[in-house]
Amino acid sequence: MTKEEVFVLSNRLPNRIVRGALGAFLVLVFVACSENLTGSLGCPELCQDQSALLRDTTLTGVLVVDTVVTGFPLPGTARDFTLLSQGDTADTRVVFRFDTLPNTFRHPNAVVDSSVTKVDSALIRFSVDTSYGKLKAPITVDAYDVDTTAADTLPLALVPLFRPDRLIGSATFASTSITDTLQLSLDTAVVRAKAQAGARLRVGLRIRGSTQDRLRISGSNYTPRLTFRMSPDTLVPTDTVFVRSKTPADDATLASLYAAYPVIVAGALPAPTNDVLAVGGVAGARTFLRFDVPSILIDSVQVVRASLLLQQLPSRVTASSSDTIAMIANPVLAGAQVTDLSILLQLVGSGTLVGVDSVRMVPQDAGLRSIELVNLFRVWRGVGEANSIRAIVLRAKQEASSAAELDFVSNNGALNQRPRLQITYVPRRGFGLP
Amino acid sequence: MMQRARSRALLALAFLSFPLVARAQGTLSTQGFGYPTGEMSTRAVGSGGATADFDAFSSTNPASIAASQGSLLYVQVEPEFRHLTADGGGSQKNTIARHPLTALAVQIRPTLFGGISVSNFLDRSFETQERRTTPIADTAVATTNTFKSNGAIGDIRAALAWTPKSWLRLGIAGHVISGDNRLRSTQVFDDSVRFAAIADTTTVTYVGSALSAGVEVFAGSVAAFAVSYRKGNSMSVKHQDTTIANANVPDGIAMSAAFVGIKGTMLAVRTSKDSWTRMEGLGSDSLPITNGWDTSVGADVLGPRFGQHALQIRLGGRWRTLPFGLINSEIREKTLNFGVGTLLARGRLGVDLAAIRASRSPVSNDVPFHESAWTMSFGVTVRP
Repeated sequence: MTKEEVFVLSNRLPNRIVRGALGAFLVLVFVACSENLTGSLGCPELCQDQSALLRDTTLTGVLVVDTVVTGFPLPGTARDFTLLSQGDTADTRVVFRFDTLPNTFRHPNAVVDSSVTKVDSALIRFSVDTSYGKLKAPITVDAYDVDTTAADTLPLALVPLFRPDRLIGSATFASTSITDTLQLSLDTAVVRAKAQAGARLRVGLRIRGSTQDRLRISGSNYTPRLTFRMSPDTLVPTDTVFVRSKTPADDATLASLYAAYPVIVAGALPAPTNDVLAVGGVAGARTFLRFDVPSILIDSVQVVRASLLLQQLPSRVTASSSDTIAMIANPVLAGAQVTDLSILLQLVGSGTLVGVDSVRMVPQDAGLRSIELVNLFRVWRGVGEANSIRAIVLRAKQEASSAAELDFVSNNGALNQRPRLQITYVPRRGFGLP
Repeated sequence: MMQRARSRALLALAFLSFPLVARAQGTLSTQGFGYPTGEMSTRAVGSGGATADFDAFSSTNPASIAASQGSLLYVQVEPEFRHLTADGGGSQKNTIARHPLTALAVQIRPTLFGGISVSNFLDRSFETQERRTTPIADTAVATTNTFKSNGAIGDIRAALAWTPKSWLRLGIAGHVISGDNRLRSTQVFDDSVRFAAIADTTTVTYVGSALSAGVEVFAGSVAAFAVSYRKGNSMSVKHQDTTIANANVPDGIAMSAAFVGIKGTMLAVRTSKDSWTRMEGLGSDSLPITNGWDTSVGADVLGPRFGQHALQIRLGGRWRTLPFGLINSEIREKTLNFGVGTLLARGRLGVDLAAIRASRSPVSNDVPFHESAWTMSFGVTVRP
């Protein structure tokens, strides 16, 4: 007799038992399909060490281009402005253009327009960004009539207009009163005269107060505006005029960029000598760095660390030199066919988006600083050199909002202090066999 | 009524066993190229594996497919619940899903049977997570390393069995030993600002073949004997289309004896030995491989009847040395097996359930770990 013979014994079983058996089978199948394989108790005794063998190398002379360019943000590209009043080391102001003042209004009960004969309650309103720091002392904001027929985007023409006989408004604000929006009263006679004449009103703002204070105007969140009443009758609503420029008359795009713009009066240093790299400052310096990285390090190995080592120098700018400044590295997104530096400087992406963190530094300090570019290396591996040159742009996070400037030794500096890349990588490896 | 109550109690017992099996799991058994599940059916597993060489569903002896007495399809699932215990304290549980055997047998002629089976030859599924310190230049950085392997080496067997005499069964088979391990290694640095994580994935594929032959001889209606032999051919491990290493499929011999003098009952003993060292060269030189004996005794007994239905009761034990051990110790496994089985739907549906309580221990006292496991095996046979 064989074992199979016992299976002849089957007959019909009650359905409930059949269903129960099938149910048990399904439960077991379900249990059998869910796994929990993870274990750590037996390690290291029972585990294979799969740690990658890491290799470390420092590349000197890896920079083929290191250039400092000033003047950022480019004119007309910013909507947020910082007023600084730190004497000769940092003095920046802002100009608002109101080129479309109305000279008539219509009463709700009237069928024809009325000419402006009276102006009351003329106020400039703008938003203040307090995230850059609270003021420590009262601050005075002065408003000047800076309208001129000269080329008024140039400090040379504008700065002389910030004089007492052109002062059309002034107010002192307690530090605790500055929370969100500020409003500054203007001389109503000036506004009325401009409106009646169909002229433009161009207001220059400057601050006075503690030498360390600054006022950050956030034009991107709240468009600066002028409000005034043209009639004592409350049925006539208050008129609001937003910043708007009508010059240059032949270029509407350019004109719109200059509806509000900063004026650098003092503190903008020229680009440093070629042995120094600069970032930030009143001059708005950015540093362009292009690398010549051996292709094997990008294409053939897995980079674990890519630290750009820069030797920081005490800042040549004394203003705000004890502040903490964040420096960010933005990847250049241009392909190899783009060679114009001015274009390359504009074709940058966000460092944050590719995982490059900012580095915080104090301008007056010195020492070796490290900027971690490993995630950028991995992006480079993905896009290839033809599509993205191996370059970054260093800029200050507080660009145009702080006078502080960070300085570093360039590729023309002392040999042992030049920028270099410290690379840690994993060569191609086989793994997993016991 | 009495019989119905008994059958309900039995099923209830089967369900109650799930919470018990859910408290075991470990990693002593998945060293090297993995854990050899044995290529045995639930029925054979229930009796410790001792009846495997006479079992039509198991793929150990090609002659045994003649025992199918017709055509059939067999599917088996086998989750394992492992429990690793450290002598110094601490324990860890894991669950492994296995589908170790699927078989199809066809009666070609009255005395000729053919069969195809896919079975799990070496199961290598595990995931480890550990803390290590990685030297970089003149510093060291702490990392969390995770290594995961999923997959197995399988045995696809095509077999023919012939019964020239009622007391004799002969079988031959060709085996394709193939499968893959999908591997993932990650290394995450504590200092994630400076160091990006390392993540590697790869798949290694095993390709080999073997031939096997077996014989079963019945001495009247009292005893049965079986011998089977597998001759392994070359085996290679590949990454994509590149051969990484070459070695051989293990040879294997198995011998069984059984007492079948009682109707519906088989008392059996089996011993086998695989030359696992023929796989040397596929892995690292330091991989410890052991050619240990695998011995089992067991019984497959006709149990009580419930109405028209007979229940098979199975019990057995098994002792073996696992082929892949540690550098400083072999690992031995002892199991206590029991199972039940019956036929449903007028014999067209066979259901078998087995539970295995395994204890795995290093031979050396220097290894401070022990492993225990509950494995639940559930097999379903469908006959046309």
